Amino acid sequence: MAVEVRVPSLLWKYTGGQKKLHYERATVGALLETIDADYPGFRDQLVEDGEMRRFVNIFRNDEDIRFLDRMDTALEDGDVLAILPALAGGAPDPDRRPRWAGRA
Amino acid sequence: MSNGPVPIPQALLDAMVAHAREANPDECCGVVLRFPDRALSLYRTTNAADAAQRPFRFDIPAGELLHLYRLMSEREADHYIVYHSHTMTEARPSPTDLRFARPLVGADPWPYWLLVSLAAEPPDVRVWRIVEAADDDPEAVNGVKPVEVGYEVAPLPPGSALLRLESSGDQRRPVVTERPLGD
Repeated sequence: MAVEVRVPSLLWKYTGGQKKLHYERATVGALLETIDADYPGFRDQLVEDGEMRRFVNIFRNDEDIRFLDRMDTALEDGDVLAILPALAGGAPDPDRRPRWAGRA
Repeated sequence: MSNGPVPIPQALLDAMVAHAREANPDECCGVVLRFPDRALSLYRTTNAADAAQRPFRFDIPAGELLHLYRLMSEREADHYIVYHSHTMTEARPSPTDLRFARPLVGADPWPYWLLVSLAAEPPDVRVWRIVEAADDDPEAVNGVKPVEVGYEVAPLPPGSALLRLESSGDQRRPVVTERPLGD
């Protein structure tokens, strides 16, 4: 038993097309460093200045690690780590809109 | 992914415009998945942006994303379309959209971006791809830019569905439920 990492399609180019990786248990932060040693560039897509990027979600089993211990979240044998890109966006910020487009 | 017009059934277009109107003055958001038998499922999702920001932001909550990505992996569905509305501006990906989309570019399958603008009446619907762009490209934001591909009205494939996702429980471990639209 090990930790299973489910790789989203946008990161397949870093993992040589592998959709699932298996690693020894560790914290999320340490695991991502280990993965990055095998697949350089992988970690930078997910982490900036030691914290998860805003546009990334990481789940341990069904739990968002933002509500656990973030990068310090411990992983046990049999855990599944799912990495999901955010889907977000929106209109131009109101202060960048033309004056006529301001909200009433 | 082709560069030609994207086939979209009228029922899905109508559902996306209706969602935009219902959510107004907030932005709406949702996803269309395409299954191996060609059936399409439209999922209205929750806009989890802060209430004060929802008129100009959308953010699909992580639990609903997990639900959708699980469907994609277990039922081999493609992520066909991500849609949202702009309530006062044109139906074109904004710099905000491009900044948020940047980490996704290169994903396969990579969804079409459909925007509904309520600045026009009837609402304007436009469909785009977001592609990598050279830094000196005047349209580039963070290395990507939108390219309009348009759409054509297509028949509704058998087995298609219009659904909404609802999240309950706490944020740490949300429970996501699928319900038919109209329930």
